[in-house]
Amino acid sequence: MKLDSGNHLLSDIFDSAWIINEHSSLNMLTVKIPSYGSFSLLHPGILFWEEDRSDFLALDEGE
Amino acid sequence: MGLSRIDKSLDLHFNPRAFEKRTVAESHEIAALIDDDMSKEILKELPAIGPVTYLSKLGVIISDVEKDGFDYLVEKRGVFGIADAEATCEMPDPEINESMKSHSSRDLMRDISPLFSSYEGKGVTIGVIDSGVDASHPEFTGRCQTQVNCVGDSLTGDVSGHGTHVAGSIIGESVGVASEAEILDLRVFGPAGGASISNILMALDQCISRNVNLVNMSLGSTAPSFVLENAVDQVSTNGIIVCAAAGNSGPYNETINCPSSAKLAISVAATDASKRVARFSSRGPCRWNSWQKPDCAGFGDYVYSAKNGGGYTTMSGTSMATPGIAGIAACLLEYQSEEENPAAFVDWLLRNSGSDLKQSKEDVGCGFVSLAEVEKYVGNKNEMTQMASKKKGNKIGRTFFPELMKCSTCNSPRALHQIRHRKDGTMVFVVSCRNCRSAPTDGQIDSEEVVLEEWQHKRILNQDIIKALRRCGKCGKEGLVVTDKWKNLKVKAGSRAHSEGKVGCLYCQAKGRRVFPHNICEIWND
Repeated sequence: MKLDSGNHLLSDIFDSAWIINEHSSLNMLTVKIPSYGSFSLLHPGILFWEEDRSDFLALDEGE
Repeated sequence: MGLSRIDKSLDLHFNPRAFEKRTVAESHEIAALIDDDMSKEILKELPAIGPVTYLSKLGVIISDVEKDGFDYLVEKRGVFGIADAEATCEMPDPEINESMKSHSSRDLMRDISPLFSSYEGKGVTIGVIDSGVDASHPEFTGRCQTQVNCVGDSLTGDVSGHGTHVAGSIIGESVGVASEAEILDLRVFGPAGGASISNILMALDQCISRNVNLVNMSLGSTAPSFVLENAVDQVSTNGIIVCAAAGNSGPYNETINCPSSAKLAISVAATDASKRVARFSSRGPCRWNSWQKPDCAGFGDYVYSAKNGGGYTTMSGTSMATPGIAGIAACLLEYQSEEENPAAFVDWLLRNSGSDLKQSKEDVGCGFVSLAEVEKYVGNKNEMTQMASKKKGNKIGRTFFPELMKCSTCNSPRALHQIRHRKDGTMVFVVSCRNCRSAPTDGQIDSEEVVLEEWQHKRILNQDIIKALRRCGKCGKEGLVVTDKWKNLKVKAGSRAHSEGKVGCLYCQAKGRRVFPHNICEIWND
């Protein structure tokens, strides 16, 4: 997810235990939110978010 | 008679022309294709020399005949053709298609380029987001010293061989385009294959924080990721060129992969050695956004490069075309290293200097890019210097639009009064700051003109424009609306059509006028 450039404290939005990675140069976060924490995605400091997935493949032509 | 074909050599043998002083007494072995029903009759009547062989399953008789026997077969009903059985068959020389031979990226993408011949990417660092790199391969000679593990497992080195091949094409001593550049190895693939968005984000984040000059992404997905596209654009706006593989989902249109679909990424298609688009190479435009992709093409079919664990191997794919382009970018960055903001100019060259050989933009973008093609495009050193200084524009850099829309004195948002295209391809933005400008005289407000080169204004997002053009010059709020129909202005020769419109502010009731090109008016109306 991407956070806006405002000075939102991460601890205001998420429990620190949910944060997997902080990509500070990109102003983005990777988080793992439990089901009871899903409303935190409505925080105004979050510009957009997306579910993680692992379908990015190396682009060489297979035999 | 049912004869359909007689070998010319036989006809000449038995019926020589007057000028050919040859006797006709010699016998010759022939093979005749006959009707099976007539075989008994023909075998009985044929004046042959020696025994006659009949291959019943093929319907062919083979026999030595003289002229009378040949004439008999020519005249006989039920003989379909007569061939020279003494003719020898030779194995034709294998036809080697140049495009099928394997070449290294260095062979084809440097080509003969006197202007750039001594530039090998020295001082340039390239982030390779891939499966890892075999740093001990002799091709790399200590120029791949750091590996960042973005997967979180305990593995090291290259987990599949893909990354080593890719890195070889960029910095390999004998196979790479930029043989003196260095790489930062960012491993996002595990042994299972797929890379996750979060791993790739971590790698991109590292590229910014470790100040690499270039990023190579020979990976992709057919499904969009807005987060990843945004991240790639952010890396780009930090002055880092991102080369991303267009995808191997061709030959159908709208098959561009993510993240090469990102607006600011250099999306690289693949060609064979004859610079023709490879069948597998993904075609533009992008399915889920409106960016024209791919941007350029590189050699990606049967590419010879470094193999994980030592030695060499051949691979194909847009994965293999992308490192060639990254290598070219590294050489150009070294060439431009003395200049201010070299990345913007190199980025522009990669999007414009290709040779398309009349192939469509959807297939190869601007075309096949090599150092020789870039040299052809820019001419000589002087012309390149002039071109580079022109492309620098107003020292705005890659993040020019937000800067342009803020007053350089008081940092408050500016109002955008006019956008005008000029004959030379540049664009004039007329802006003003409500805090810093003097009071209007004769209805004319104190405004400032900022000139942008074409390559700069192409990077402006529609939403940036909309925000700026709706800003009221008086109160600074985004409350301007068009109060009357746009009026077309007279089009000057070589210029684009512009419209003038009356506007009013919903907040402060101020009135004014704006001049924009037609397409901007359409955006406003939307």
